[in-house]
Amino acid sequence: MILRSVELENFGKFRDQNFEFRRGLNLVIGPNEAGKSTLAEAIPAVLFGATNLERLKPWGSSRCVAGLVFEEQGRTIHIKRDLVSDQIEWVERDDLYHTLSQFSGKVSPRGNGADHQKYCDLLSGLLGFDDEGLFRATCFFGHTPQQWNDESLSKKLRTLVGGTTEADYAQILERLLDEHFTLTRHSPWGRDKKNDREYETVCLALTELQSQEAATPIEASASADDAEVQQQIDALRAELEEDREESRKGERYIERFRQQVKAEQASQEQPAQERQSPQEPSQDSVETTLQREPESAEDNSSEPEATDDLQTQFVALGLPKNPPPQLPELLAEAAEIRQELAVLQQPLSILSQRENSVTATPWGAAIGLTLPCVLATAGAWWQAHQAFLVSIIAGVCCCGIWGWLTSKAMTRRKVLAQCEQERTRLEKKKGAALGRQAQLSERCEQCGVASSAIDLVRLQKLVKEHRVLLDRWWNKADATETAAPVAAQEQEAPTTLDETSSNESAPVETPSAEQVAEPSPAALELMQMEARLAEFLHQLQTKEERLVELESQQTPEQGATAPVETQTEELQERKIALERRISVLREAINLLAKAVENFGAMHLKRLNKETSQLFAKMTGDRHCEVELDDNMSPRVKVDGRSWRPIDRFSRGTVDALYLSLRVALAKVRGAGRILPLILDDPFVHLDQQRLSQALNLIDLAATDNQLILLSHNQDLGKRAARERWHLVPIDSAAESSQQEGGEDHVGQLHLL
Amino acid sequence: MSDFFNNPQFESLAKEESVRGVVARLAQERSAEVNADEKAVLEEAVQLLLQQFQAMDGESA
Repeated sequence: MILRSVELENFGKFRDQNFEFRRGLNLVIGPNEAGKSTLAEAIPAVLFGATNLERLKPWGSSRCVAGLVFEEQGRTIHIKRDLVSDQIEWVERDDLYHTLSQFSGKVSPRGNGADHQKYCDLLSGLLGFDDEGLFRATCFFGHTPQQWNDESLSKKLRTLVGGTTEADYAQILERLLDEHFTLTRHSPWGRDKKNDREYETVCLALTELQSQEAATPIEASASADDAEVQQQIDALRAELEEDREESRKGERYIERFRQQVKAEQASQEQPAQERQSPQEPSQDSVETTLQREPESAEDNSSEPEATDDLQTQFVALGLPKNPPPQLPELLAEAAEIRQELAVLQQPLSILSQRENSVTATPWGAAIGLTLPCVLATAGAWWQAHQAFLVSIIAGVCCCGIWGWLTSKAMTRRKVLAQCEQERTRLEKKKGAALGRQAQLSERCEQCGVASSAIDLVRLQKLVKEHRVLLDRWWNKADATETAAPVAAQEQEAPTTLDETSSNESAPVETPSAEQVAEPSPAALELMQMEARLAEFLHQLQTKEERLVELESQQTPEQGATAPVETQTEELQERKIALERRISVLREAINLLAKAVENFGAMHLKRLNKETSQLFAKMTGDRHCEVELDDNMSPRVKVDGRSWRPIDRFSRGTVDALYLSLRVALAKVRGAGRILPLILDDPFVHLDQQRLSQALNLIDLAATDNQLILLSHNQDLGKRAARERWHLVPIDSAAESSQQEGGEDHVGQLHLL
Repeated sequence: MSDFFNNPQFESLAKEESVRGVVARLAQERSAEVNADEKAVLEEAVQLLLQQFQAMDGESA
């Protein structure tokens, strides 16, 4: 982009003047007081407004207008400002003079309205920034260099170098930090805040809830205890149910037994003839009960037959009328022994088969094969014909045969030994089982039960049938309370078989004729039964009390803990969400801060490098290294060792440094834009050598940038002619302006 | 997760000569060093920053 022209109307000493510029280096030359600085000041005045209008407005005039024309790749931007009213006219046209954008409005330097904002946006689009300070610090070279250690300018430059002007990253960082501080008072980047924030509040609430739940282990254990108690209660209830049932049965039985005893006592009082008449076979427990049961079960015609059959089979098996209480045990043991013997039989048969499969060693065949070999050897020796060879062949054959036979014999012997060992083990087990079986047979005989295996199997089957039959009887007895006492006796009979309770079976045995004569044992037995029943009822009562106690131990429902758990869960979720957000914010802040730092360091490094190169050229390689410190203050490395601040150098060196710095900054900061540089006699303090070097530097910079150099040095005019610079003699222009205007701008002397 | 940091849009963003570009490049470097959980946090952080940049552009416009 180049500045094509500056149009001045009632601006300073210029009445109506237009200055044209070209690409490359433009030299505006004129003596002192010719208006060079006025011309230079016109540029920032148009762009940013004039804060000291009195210096620019002609005395007695109410109008002061200046305009700039910029050209950039197919477009022309014409900016015109009335410095009195700050009225801006902005027109952007293309090569065909078509209007691309247009703006018209009042934009004062200190304004802040919509027009001001719009104009700033247009200016940013044109220059890359909208700040006068930055413009003067970079593009505008006056007599007095901008103070780089000015804090506001340093900040602007830092922003410019660090992140260009694309966004205010500091503001974004501030926003993120603010949000971070709204969530937690802890800051990894600075001092923590005093007051707790949401995260700390949530953590605190959660800790309190957890401390409340510290009591929960007791409740948890209590709930565990409750479960245990509940299990005990359930078991106790089931047990009580069974016990109650048993007690009812016992009461019924005792009642029947009592009636029977009473009946017997009454019968004892009857004549002896009557007493000695054949009693019903009810005195024989099993037989009697089995025979009497059908009387109480009139509607069941098949049961008498079954009981008769069962009784017949019991008798046929040699079962005593009173089955021994240990009969179920005997039967179970017999079944176990049978099963064990059956299990042992199978491997024994397999072992036998294996032994039979092992063939005998064919010693006869071996001898038969060896004999021809011996004969052949003997014949060979006899004939003395190849005896040695024949002997070797025969020996090899014999060795092979006998070796094979020996290995086979060893294998057979090994197999047989294994079989023998296994057989011994199995036989030992079998012997033990048979021994137990013999003992069982003895016990069976002692109990009066047939001891043969077949009888025991049949007996077991009969016992099962007996149990089924008795169950049916018992059900019928429950249904008809009028069941005969014998039915009750029958009811007790299964317990003798099933539960091996000989005591329970005892009452089944009705007293014999001799016992009837002595009623006291029956009465005594009745009393014993009543005592046992009382004890049983007492135990029942104790269990019921225990049940009540357990039920009272049960803790009430823990409904109150549910809200606490819900609240804890919610707080946990919130805590996790907050931790996540805090992590994200910290990551974002670190990322952005590092990015800004990296970007700034990258550009600052580049700026330092460019500045150092330019400054080295200007100082003839005397000072080769320059850098900006953290405060954007330049310093120079002396003798390649120590850094020296810029204020310790001579004025000429300072000017050269600032010139280098600004050119470098304009180059680095460009961001695609190559802005014109305006240099208002910046070399007044340079000696001839440095001036030459500075001019060389400017000439070099003019290959990229448009340079507008304003100077009073007539030697530069000669060089401009020699170097074919664009020359703008301002003195004649001012004169012509004076001639045309016919006025003397005496009032503009203050510009000097 | 890896799609976010390696998709073409993010790649073009990482080539920008701006702070946003540096943010994208740093995020890409970091995503190669962290585990899956940290990568998810990183992705969320980058999205947050891009939203902030966009909001800032909107405000300035």
